[in-house]
Amino acid sequence: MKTRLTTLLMGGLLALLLSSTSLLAQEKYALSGYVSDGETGETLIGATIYVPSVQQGVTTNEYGFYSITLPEGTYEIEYSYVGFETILETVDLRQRTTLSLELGGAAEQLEEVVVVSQAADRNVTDLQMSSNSLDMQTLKKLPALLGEVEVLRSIQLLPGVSTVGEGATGFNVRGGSIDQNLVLLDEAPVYNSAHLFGFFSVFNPDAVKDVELFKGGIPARYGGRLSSILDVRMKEGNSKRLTLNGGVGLIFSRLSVEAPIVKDKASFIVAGRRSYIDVLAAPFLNDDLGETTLNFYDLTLKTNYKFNDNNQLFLSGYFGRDNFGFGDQAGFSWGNTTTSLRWNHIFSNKLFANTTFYFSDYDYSIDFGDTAEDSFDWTAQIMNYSVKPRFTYYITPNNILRFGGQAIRYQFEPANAVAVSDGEEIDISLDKRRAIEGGFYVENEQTLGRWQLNYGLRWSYFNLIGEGNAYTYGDAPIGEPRPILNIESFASGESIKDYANLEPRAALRYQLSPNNSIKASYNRTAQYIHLLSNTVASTPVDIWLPSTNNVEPQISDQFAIGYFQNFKDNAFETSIELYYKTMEHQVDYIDGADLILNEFVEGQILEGEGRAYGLELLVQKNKGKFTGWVSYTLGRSERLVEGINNDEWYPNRFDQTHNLSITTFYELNKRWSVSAVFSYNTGTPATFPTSRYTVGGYTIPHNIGGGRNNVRLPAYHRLDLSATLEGKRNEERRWQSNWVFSIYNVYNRSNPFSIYFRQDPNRTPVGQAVNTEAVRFSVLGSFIPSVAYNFKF
Amino acid sequence: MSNLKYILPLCFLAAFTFSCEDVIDIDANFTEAQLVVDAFLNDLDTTQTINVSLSQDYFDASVPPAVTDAQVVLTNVTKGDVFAFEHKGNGAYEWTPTSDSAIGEEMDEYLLTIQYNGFTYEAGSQLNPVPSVDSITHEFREEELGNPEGIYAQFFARDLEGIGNFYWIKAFKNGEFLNKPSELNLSADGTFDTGTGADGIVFLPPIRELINRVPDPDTEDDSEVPPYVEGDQIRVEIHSLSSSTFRFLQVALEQMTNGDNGIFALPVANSPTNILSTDPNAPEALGFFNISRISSAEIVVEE
Repeated sequence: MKTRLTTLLMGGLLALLLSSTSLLAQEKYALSGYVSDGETGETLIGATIYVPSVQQGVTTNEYGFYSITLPEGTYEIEYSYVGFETILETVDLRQRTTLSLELGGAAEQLEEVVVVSQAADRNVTDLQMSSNSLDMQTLKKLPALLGEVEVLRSIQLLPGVSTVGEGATGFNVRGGSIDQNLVLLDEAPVYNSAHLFGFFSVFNPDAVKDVELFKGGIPARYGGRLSSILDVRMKEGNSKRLTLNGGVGLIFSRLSVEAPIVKDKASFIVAGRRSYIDVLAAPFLNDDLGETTLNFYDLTLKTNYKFNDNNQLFLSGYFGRDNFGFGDQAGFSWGNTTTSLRWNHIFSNKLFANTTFYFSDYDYSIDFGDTAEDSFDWTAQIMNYSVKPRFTYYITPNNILRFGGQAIRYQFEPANAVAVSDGEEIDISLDKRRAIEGGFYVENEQTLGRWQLNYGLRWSYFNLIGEGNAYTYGDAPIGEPRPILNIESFASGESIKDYANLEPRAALRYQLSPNNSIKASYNRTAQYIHLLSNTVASTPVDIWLPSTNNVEPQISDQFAIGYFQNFKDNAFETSIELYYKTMEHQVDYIDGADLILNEFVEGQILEGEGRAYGLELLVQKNKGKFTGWVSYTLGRSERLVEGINNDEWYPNRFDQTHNLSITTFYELNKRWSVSAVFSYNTGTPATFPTSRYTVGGYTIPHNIGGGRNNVRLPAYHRLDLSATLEGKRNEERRWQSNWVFSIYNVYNRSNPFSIYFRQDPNRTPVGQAVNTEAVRFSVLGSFIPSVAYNFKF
Repeated sequence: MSNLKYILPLCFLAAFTFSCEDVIDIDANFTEAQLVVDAFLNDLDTTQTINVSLSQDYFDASVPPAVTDAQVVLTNVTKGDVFAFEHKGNGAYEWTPTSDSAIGEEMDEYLLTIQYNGFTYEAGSQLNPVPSVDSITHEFREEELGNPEGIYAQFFARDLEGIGNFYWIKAFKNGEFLNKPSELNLSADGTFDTGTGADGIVFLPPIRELINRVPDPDTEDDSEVPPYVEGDQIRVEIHSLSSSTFRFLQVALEQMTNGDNGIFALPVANSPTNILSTDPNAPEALGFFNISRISSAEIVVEE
């Protein structure tokens, strides 16, 4: 079956290639090159190359590369990118031609805020729907919690993106859980994107160039997760001159250095951040917490070398860590490491290839006790290596063929743990697990008059391999742990269980007029690794579990349709999208499940199905002194799991019926700009006890009927403000700086994260009735002012 | 491994001091009172009590309504002995062993039968073995991490051989049972939960040390008072549990202390009962029946 599929896929690929070669019989030549920012040398992603005489155009890819094939002739060609002046070039196309351009140069950039688009009319003309990209300049003007510019908090201002609450790690896209987002940093996956639980993300804003989120219509070149792809790309580093960026906020201080190594050939960026809440908080902590350690830091580095016009290498690395310590009694730390090496190779000026090799690791360690008699040490890790070749074949301006593949080697180490009790050592480590994930894809992007199509297929494969065990479980009453029946050992490299899936993807756009279009898409996605988490917010100790003989891969089908319209010369962009998504083999858990340090965890997993549907609305104003966007989502995300909620559909903990955010910017004058963000969402669902009963002297809560998530917390709403004061502009001076003043939660609302139930925490004498009460818990229950200073040299 | 539950919220609190909590008024939507059976028995030579009551509105801070008209019978299935429990008032049903009627021996199987409102409910349990409490020790500790200086105690015991032994450790200070949910001390094979593969170990330190009382947050200066002072009497009992009782108590513990987990709260869940009716039309009951062997030790804190 497997081999037949591969043959089929390869055959199809070949046929496509052959059919497209026949088009080359005419006298046509390709014009190709890179487009970059003249000031910094950074390549521009999504810059438009347009040929008015033939009314055809292309955009630069994620490496700034473009290729356009045209019949022999002389052409006027427009190179444009929002925020830069358009360049007109005359090209005499008599042979294959390479033309790399720098936009902007030293000229002052236009005073314009780019919200979520690179080409002015991209909203309407781009085939890709259900995607948003965020501009770092815009992001830096948003009011920020404690003055820290935040990539992951900012994407929550987009339609379809939500979170279970403040401080929670990760984000939910179109009703998917947080482990269904593939977060890529320069193509390497990041397994835990949070610092300090979920307050800050691992992305240093000074090192990020571009952020793109795919919520639906996910092209075949992406795979491995169900709900979304968050593609974060780092800056290459200024290839023109030495630049320093830095900032001092209340939480972090940041510094980044970028410089050319060999001018226009090689450059680097090194960016670091460290928190100092521990330093700042020390005088305010009482003795209780005086011995605590609390810090987090990260280091991002990247370098590139351009060997020649056809070959360029990029090496990126990220290293970050969060550390907590409580005297010498306990310590806890976690962090990610990623490294990716990418090689851009241009075979002909029509065939662009990028091959990525990456390594990614997430690990944590916990230790208790410091004596030889009693201690506990536990580390856990997920580690993977991958190679990912990708090819883009620019057949004609109307036909782009992409194909490639990926192979990943995983190692899961759920626990390397040793407890020492009264001097005796007890090894409670769990076996490592190993797996291989692979995939091939082919996708074809075609423009046919007003129609544009992208259809593709991804074939994905997962194999859990030895050395390791396969566990067989017996039946148990619903909601009880399933008993272990048999454990079978497998030798190194032996296949324990494998899965394969065909994932069709399709997107189309119909251009009604230059100002409006209709788009539709369908995608099937498969996910082979699962984050085991049964808490409201995911914890840093949650463990990734591969698909096994007991846990099947998650599969999702999503349909989306949308209408896109721009007004007033693209000053206003609007879109409305509807989506419907089904999810199979969703992971859930029995009540009281023990998900960590448990060899038999698979016996506590329940499998269910999910569905999510909704409407997303986005209106944005891109031009003028007053800019911003309004995002609204009407959505539902539900699950059906045998053994939960009496086997009926119930809303996910992160389900929000209404989610509205209004983000605005206003330029007061050359130096002052202000921004305001208002967020509103329906309260998330919760389960409340109805009754209590007394057993063994304890007052135990009980929910009559055993429903799940059948009440709602009060609505969440919040207003944040910020003002940015730019330093005096002096063309002579290279030092530029600004101050950002922010107020988070301006009207001081205690938005509940949860409502929980407890008995009076004070001692009630044995035999007396206890008081039970409901408590509203707010993570950020007060208004939080902050100030940050940023500089650039 | 539930000791993580202590470290995560602690980290979170240390990291963020902007959080706040308010007691609020809401309606519990309590609709029906359910039969509650509280039957934690043992093989000691003392009066055995089963409490039968009704569940109440979650916010009803009164003593639970007693069920006074149930028939309560315990059967030692292994030996065929039948023990009738008599109602002695306030929903307490009692039976006292005599010289010629002992409850039974280790590993005997039991069946509890309760008749109430025309329905019969049954629950089974086994008299599982228990390890001895080897010692209770105490030491003077300096102030550390918010714990005041003073005397702290721990007990030592070793898990029985074989995987799948479950225990409930009860601590008594000067005869008073430490009864807060946060003091509920459970162990599976000497660790916190099943699935670790640990066996026959000395109980892990956090379990050994949970015989020190948890201070009251609202009682002034209570957190400045050490758990024990000279002259205090410390009593530690280990009760053997069945695996289903362990699960019942563990889910109850998770639910009663779920608020301490902050943003890492677990889903609200009902503790699974073993009081099941033979009639599918019978209203569902709550509570648990378990029969334990008990080991204990006692010391007086001396200088």
